[in-house]
Amino acid sequence: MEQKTFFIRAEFCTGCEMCRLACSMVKEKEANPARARITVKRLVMDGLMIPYICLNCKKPACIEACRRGAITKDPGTGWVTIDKEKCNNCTLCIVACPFSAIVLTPDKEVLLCDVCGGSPKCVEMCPTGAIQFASREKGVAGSTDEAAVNIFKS
Amino acid sequence: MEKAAIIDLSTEQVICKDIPEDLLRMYLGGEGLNTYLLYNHSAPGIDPLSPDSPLIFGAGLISGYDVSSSRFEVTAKSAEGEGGFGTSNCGGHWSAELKLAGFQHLIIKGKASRPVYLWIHDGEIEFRDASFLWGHDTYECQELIQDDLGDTQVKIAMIGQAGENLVKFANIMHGLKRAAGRTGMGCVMGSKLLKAIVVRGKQGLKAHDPEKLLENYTNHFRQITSTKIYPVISRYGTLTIFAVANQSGTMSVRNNQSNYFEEAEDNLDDEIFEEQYKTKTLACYGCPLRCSHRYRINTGPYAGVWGEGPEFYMMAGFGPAVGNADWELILAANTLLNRYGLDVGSSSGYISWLMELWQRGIINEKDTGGLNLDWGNKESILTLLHQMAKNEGLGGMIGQQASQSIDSFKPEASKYLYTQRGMIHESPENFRAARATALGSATSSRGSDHLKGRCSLEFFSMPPEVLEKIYGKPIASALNSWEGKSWMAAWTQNFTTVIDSLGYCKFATIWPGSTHNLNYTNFCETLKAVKGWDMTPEELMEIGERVWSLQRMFIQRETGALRQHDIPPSRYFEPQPLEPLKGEKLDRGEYDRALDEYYEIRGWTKEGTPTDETLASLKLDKEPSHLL
Repeated sequence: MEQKTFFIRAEFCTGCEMCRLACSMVKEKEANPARARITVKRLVMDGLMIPYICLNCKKPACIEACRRGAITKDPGTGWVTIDKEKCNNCTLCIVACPFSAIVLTPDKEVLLCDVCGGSPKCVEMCPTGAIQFASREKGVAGSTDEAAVNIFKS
Repeated sequence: MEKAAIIDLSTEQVICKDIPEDLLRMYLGGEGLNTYLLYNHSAPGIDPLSPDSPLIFGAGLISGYDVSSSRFEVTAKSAEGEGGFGTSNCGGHWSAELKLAGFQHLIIKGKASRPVYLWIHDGEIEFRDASFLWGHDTYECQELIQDDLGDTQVKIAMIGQAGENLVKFANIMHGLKRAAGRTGMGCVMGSKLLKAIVVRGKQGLKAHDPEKLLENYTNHFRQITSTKIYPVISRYGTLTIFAVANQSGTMSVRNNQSNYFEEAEDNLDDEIFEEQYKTKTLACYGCPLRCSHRYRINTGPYAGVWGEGPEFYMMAGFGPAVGNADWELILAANTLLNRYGLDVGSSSGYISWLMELWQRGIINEKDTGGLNLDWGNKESILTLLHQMAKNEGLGGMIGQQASQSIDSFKPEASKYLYTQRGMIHESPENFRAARATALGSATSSRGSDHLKGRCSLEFFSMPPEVLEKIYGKPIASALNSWEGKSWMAAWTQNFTTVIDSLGYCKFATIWPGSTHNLNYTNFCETLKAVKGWDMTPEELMEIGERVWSLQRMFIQRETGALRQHDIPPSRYFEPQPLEPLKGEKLDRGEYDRALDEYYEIRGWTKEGTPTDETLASLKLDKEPSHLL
């Protein structure tokens, strides 16, 4: 089965945060970037805007770190999701994630992207295509040149 | 519930109030409610730089909710003009963040006993010492504040040295280029010893109908990104206007002596900027248009200069307006202006005026302190900017006195200084061939204001049926016809006032000339989703009219002078010397008739005062009221 995941090209990110606004509207029914499942680190002085979202790793460090078995990877789709019933917001997954992709909200709640069931709103709302949702076979996760050639070239 | 904070810098006390729903329905937020607050919170005849003069910040009512709604308004009695209405609109990320921090409007009064900055987060407002920031430019200031608060994601509105030194046309800056310019809002902020307002918000904005809001958000995004203007504006921003303006003979060259700048050909255009200097594209909050650009100069005398911007306004203001065709000088000046917090239109306006005085021999090296003010003299241009910000020499005198500086020169100097309500004419603009725009800019509340008066659809020779569909009345297609233009000017002023009250960016609306962009019906959709209001386009238009007439009341109360300041610069009544549009000018008789018609449309007297009936119909007859 084809497995789709996110690819990020930070170079294209304008820091507009439309993805975060869209995510919070879908998931939280309010306009609240602080509770979005995608984050954008805005380094204004450097002009660097860096999006972070779960890349659905092949061997997720978060799953190994979680002591409650709250995070699982679907063998079919490849998507990594969190079961909020089991999660106690201990943040061990956040520490473990090498991609800084798991979100801690201001009230210390752990949030993880669920790819909106396969058609992520953040991708739909990104005006520059800095974030893509495509087959893992097209490249490797992360902002490498290889990924750029296969995924970001329109 | 939208909240307003009344902040007293003298006593360091804050009063928070809920904004009554009735008031929001009458004035929305941003510019509209700011106008109401200024009218009611400032004592008549107050000195704009006195502690009691309020400085008001207002996020757009739907800022933070919809696409391209990132804007806030700063309003106070004008420091730059002759005591009139001061206001400015600014984009970036500050407005939405203020709302996420729990506030929509800030009414700042008093004067701090030492430099302070405000730290606003999650419903809290703290007064923090800013002594360590005083004297630093806006770029340095941001890094120092991030360090002071231990947070890199804060959003900052601040003044540079220009505001600290009470330059009459100092801006309030945000980020590396976003500016609340004209009318000296930075000067008012500096007079209060307020260096910055730092916001960080983590509270969610709850909409009346979240599902509907998401649908609108998605649809408006698709609408904005499917227009013909989108590929252009998202690549070049406003720089793309430059070649069009120059090649159509509507450029302002050498203090508006000419209308076409030949030297710009092959030197100044958007493509050269794109290829040689641009390093990054950036956007305001929630906006797909991404019209902002980082740049860096790698070689030559300005090697190492970097910054963000510039806009058309900068390109024309430090290009043709001062007789310069060097992109790098424009970029170097842009960085200086943004770091110091100086206004583009006014500073280049004064420089081009000085250069014309030099050209005509009205001033000499004795007056300039040794500066050579030949057109396009790069060194002198940059020196004048340094002087303005630091209050030194000739530039310092101009910065401190603005249009009053005519008293320091021979009497004939005043002939070449074009002002309205004491505001110098925006140096990049030459609207004499465009009738609605000339009228709309001249009758604007702050004086000489393209952001309220520019009727962009006038420039595109649109078919009459298209114009009638938009404006609801017959409008001539021809740029230089007066038919329907008074209505077009008033309509545009109301429209831009509504946009600035809601917090939308003008470039996401039909304002810049893209008929498929957001319009009143879209605003109504958003208001329905966010507030649950069933508002009609007609009701929104009436709000625009109400705010506009209240601004007029303020100007009348503070200055008394109306009609005589609604006239464009005298040079607009002289023929343009060059092709294209050679010989084009305004006819005074025609202009006065159009002005009469404009007053009639607005329900104002022949002197430009709202009549009692107009005040009653706009529910302004009870002003001043103190609902907030």
